[in-house]
Amino acid sequence: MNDIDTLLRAADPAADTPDFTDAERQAILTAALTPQQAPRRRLGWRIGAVAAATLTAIGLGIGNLGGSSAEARADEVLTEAAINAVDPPSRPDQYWEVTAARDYGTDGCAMSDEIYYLSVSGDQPTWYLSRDTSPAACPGEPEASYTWTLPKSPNEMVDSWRWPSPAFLASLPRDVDQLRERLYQDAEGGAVSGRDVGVFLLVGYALTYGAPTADLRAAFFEVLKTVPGITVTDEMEVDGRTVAVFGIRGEDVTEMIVIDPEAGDLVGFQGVESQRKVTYTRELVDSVPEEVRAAASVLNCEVGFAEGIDPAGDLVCDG
Amino acid sequence: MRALPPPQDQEWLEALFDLNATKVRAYAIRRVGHDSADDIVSEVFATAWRRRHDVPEPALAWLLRTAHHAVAHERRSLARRLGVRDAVAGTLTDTSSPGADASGRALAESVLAQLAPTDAEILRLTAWEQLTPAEIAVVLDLSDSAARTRLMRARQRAKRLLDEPPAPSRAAAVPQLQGEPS
Repeated sequence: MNDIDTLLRAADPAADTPDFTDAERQAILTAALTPQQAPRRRLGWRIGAVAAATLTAIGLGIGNLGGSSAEARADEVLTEAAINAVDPPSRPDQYWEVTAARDYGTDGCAMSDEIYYLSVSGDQPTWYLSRDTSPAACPGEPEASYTWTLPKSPNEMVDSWRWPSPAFLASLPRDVDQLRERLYQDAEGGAVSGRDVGVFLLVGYALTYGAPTADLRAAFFEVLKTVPGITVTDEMEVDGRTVAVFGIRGEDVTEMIVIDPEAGDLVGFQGVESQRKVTYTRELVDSVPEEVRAAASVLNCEVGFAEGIDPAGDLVCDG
Repeated sequence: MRALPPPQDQEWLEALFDLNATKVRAYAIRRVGHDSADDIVSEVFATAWRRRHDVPEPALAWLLRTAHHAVAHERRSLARRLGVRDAVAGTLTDTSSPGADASGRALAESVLAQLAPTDAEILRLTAWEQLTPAEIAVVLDLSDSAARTRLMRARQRAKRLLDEPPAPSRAAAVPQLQGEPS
């Protein structure tokens, strides 16, 4: 017995868990149905002075979606974002250093950064570093940092919206009508709530997990203006920037995307029901830090479309 | 899997309970032991009733996520009461069962203790709750791809640890496994 799954199953402390007796069942159900004060939860998104505004956004959540004024506001903000999208000059041998500051909303004690290095050309593998950034006062030991990479470069993988390579993004049309047609075609069957929701999800993936160039971002924003049901659910200040939270009603939609219209770029996303939030910062660097390369494990994974995983593609790993 | 009635009445909660309660109880026993497990179950179904319009179907992963938060709260409360940081890691909670393989459990715990807490929990959810990476992502509030890659990484690390020759401290914990071929 030398694999952890077999070992754990053999040592399962609840292998013979009994069913509830009628009395136990009745007691738990009665307690559940008895009205009580909902527990107060402490929320925490570490974006300085914007915390109060953020809480409002969570409170509004998906319930605030809808309405012609919210859709009209979405149109205005997306127009502004499309106009303002610009990129700094870059070279193919450089990397985008993307820092994703994650807060999974567990009493402010589930925070981490994932920093990844995306080859601008897409011809070099991507490198990932994840580290625990929860406050020192949180209970438990912080999680160890870890770094990993993949054996193939993004451009060597199959085309995918969820893991979009620079080559895939470069192949997409910039003409808004053609891009819209492509998105609706690829969204077919990808979301149970329909293709409008599917398009929202695909654009969110491309903005989040890739580094689309300014012309493509502008085209994405123009397409989103044409998707029925997309609304601005909230606007707030984040690090001195006024940003807008976009959502669409649908059971597939677990996250809303946050866009900075002045920069014409994605700021991050936040959960619709969960308190999960991620904010992104991107900058160009000439190389991957040596300590990241030295510490990285090579995960034997590549993008695939196996049954049971996201239809937009996801990593499929051996082992 | 049979469909639940609409989430508006007691019948829905009863059906939800009958479909999932034993699995939630097993989850709780594994994390907090037999004595506190039903408190966690009670909290989970009370939360499900309060948020009945948010509970998806199938509901198990959502219920286990709620249990995960309830267990974390229980452990933090215990840590505060005792002033012992280790309680958070669950080391004060005896979840052993007469039927469990004690030596295997000690070895498994020694391996899990050397992993990041989230990675260890991913392995437990895979082996014990038999969840898919997508379900684990719901329970732990991770992205699907993060759950998938972390599962693979955790398995790789666990295998390396299990394949290593036993260190003195580990050998002492699992004497009957010394010399077992890796």
